[in-house]
Amino acid sequence: MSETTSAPTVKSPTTSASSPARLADDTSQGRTTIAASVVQKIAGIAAREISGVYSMGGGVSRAFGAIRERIPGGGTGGTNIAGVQVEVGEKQAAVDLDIVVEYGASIVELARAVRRNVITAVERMTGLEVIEVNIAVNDIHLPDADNNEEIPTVQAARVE
Amino acid sequence: MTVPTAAEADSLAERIAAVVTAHPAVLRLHGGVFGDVVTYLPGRRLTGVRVGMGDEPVELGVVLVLDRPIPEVVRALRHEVSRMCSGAAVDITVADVALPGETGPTGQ
Repeated sequence: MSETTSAPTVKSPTTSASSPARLADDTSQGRTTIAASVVQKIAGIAAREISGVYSMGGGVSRAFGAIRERIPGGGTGGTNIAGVQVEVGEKQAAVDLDIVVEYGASIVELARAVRRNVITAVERMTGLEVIEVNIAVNDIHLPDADNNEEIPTVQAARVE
Repeated sequence: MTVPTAAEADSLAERIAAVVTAHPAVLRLHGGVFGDVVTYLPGRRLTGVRVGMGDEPVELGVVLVLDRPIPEVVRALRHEVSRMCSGAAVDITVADVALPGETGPTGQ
């Protein structure tokens, strides 16, 4: 049954020095299957850890995530996996991220940091080799959008 | 591995379930991607453990707490369970994870 979770697009294992050692004992003693949602959650959490990432997901997936959160049993951490798509094989994983950045962050540097953190987290926590992390920056968050809403509350606090 | 009788396999499945859930990083058992990792016991179903007959591997489905690397937990579980089943192969499916402090949904 675990065969079915392996994605056909993930390439056959390469002889990389970074490939996890634990895989060696899997053939004789049993197979380990890590569900895609596991990789999705870890990648989502790792991406959000980087300051400068305002939120994740495109318009559609953000709306979908908001709906899914209200459905009982729609999955915990629905917010964690918004904007994260993964393909998981037996030894490798590929990650696609949709992120919204904060204005003022260097997008190139930010993407590099996100990629590094996601690769580190997924490889450490799952033992899978991450072959690629594709990052799509699909919006930028301007600080003005929040300040307009906050100004009244700030003024209210001042006259107290 | 010696071929267990049906009754032996059932009680073995329950003992395996007890050992697996006792691991600090295991939040609960899980029926796997298709919910087929199940032992049918008289009067109830034990979700998350399936002891195969003969050379078939023992199957485990688990939800882990994300506070330590998954391979480390899987290795410990496999070692423990394989020892109980006289060295049988143990297939482990990590079906989901939860953040430390977050308790997952109670349903499967």
